Amino acid sequence: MVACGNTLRGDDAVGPEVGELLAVRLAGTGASVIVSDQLLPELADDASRARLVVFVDAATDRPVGSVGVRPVAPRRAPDDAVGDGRAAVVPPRAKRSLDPFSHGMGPEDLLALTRDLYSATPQAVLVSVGAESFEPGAELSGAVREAIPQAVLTVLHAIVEGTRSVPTPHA
Amino acid sequence: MADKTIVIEPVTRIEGHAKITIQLDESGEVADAHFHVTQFRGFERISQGRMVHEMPSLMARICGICPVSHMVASAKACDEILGVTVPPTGVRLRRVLNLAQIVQSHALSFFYLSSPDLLLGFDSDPALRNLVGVARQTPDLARDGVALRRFGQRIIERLGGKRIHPAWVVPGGVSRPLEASERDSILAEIPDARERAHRTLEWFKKNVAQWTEEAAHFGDFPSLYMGLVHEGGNAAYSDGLLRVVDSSGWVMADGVDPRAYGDYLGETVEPWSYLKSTYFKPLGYPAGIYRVGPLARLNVAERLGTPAADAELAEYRERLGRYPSSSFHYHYARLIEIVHCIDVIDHILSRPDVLDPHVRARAEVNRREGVGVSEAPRGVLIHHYKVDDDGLVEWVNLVIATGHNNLAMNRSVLETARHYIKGDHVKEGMLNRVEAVIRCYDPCLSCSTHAVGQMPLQVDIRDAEGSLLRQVSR
Repeated sequence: MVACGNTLRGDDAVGPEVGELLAVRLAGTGASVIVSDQLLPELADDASRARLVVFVDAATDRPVGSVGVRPVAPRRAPDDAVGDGRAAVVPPRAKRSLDPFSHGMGPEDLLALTRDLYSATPQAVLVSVGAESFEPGAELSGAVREAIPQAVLTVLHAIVEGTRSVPTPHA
Repeated sequence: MADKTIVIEPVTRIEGHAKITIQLDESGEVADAHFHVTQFRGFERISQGRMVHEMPSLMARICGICPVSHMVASAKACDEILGVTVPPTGVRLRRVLNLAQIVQSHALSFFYLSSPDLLLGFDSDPALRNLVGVARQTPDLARDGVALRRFGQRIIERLGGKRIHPAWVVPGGVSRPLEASERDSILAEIPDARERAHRTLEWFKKNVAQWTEEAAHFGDFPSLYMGLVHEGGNAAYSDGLLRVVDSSGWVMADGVDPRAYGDYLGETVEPWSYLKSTYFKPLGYPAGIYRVGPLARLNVAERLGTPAADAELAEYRERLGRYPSSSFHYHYARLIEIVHCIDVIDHILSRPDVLDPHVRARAEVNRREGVGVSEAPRGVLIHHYKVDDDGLVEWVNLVIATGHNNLAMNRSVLETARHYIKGDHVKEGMLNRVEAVIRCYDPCLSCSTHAVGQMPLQVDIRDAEGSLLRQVSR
């Protein structure tokens, strides 16, 4: 499980809050909980060793305090070749420049790196909690705090469902 | 043809937000160029009124990449204010933490930020010119980069409790001794890290000839170099005294106690950037241009002090001369430093006394002023504090590596732009080279401007009247 968020930016801390709770609940089960300010390329190594990766993060694209879950797949590699110095033939809308330090690396990017670096494609889901505010501060908004138990249950359910039929990875 | 200006904004794959402005004359030749840092943070001001004991942890918040260097420099300034002598094991553990940070930061700079240019080509599609592109092209190299960064971060996490902003370094030493299990875990990972570091260095040496053009035009000019050295001339990273040499090897200053930095270093501010420019006072501004960081450290030191790294250093000097002056060679120097840092970490952690529980000296405020210095990944870092009798901070001056390099970065941008840009019909790959020369320095703009805000950069091309002709931002 990768719990993302900045604990000093309001509701962005919901990922780490859920992560801290689940680190206790999942101790000794073989599950590993990683709490991180953001997704970083180094996490691809961890992901490559996992049967299932559950990302937990705050979201702005869902109602405040609601909890959602959806499967995540690696971002598709562009069809063109890289490294030959020629202009690529990727349609403009398909292009996406990844700067791993723009705080913009998403679960799809991390899974793509996991695939490209380690030839591993773990099953993955994203559990997201609708957030209200990302302003500086150490307090969660009321609705997001109240959503934490639901988020924890959602993660646990995702783990049970996700590991039921997933084979053990080769890595 | 009227004078024109090119704007590159944001400058990408750097740590911070900035832009580059390139001014063309009427014939389309580059007349001038500036590297603007467009963010502001103000840590020197916001730390006023805080207790001196809080400073290392507070200062660590300046940066998410090199918090350890800020902690070490800050703690050393606080050591002086307390008037304590840090126990030897405390000193060594601080060194390990700082070296681990240099490894992870150098890995980030080389593999994540610069290797896409080197491996995929400066003219390759910018949408693919990133770590994912590197991973697809040469997964072995990318895996080595990821593993080396992780190696450094794990050491920081094991010693400091977390990867970013650990609170382990405190005034007087470190807050807790090293556990045997932690030491053993780190030592167990060293052979793998060492192998990856050497493999990367071999890869770079094998391929460096293909970047001869860039090496000749990426900020190749004579300047001064400044770094910390131990007595005897070995490179120092957490201790030592300042040495300044010029491009011919003439020693301009040596054995300088960091407390006397103000006698040698002046600071000035330009209206077009939040980043202060530092210069070597005896030569004045702007003649006192100097560089810090990996290239400078290897130039000022006689040797590194570990056999494998010194063998690499000897080959480096055989290839490039005793005092390489192109900023492109920061990359090569950075890779040699990774090898050295891993070996020093191994050496320190293999000492039987590294588990000594006496790692911290305690005292109240005994002096009103303190200066702390360390080598951050990007170069010399100076923290200077003044406090009142109760230990409340009254005044702070931070002299950051990226500030030391500001004059050199601006000169490098101008030199590179003059070589690659002719007229306003500029290809993206040319602009990327102007950005890439900045990446050689691996500037950290959050550190150096002390900025609230975000981190990207931009290139502007303007005419002689200052009208914006073209702006590149991603």
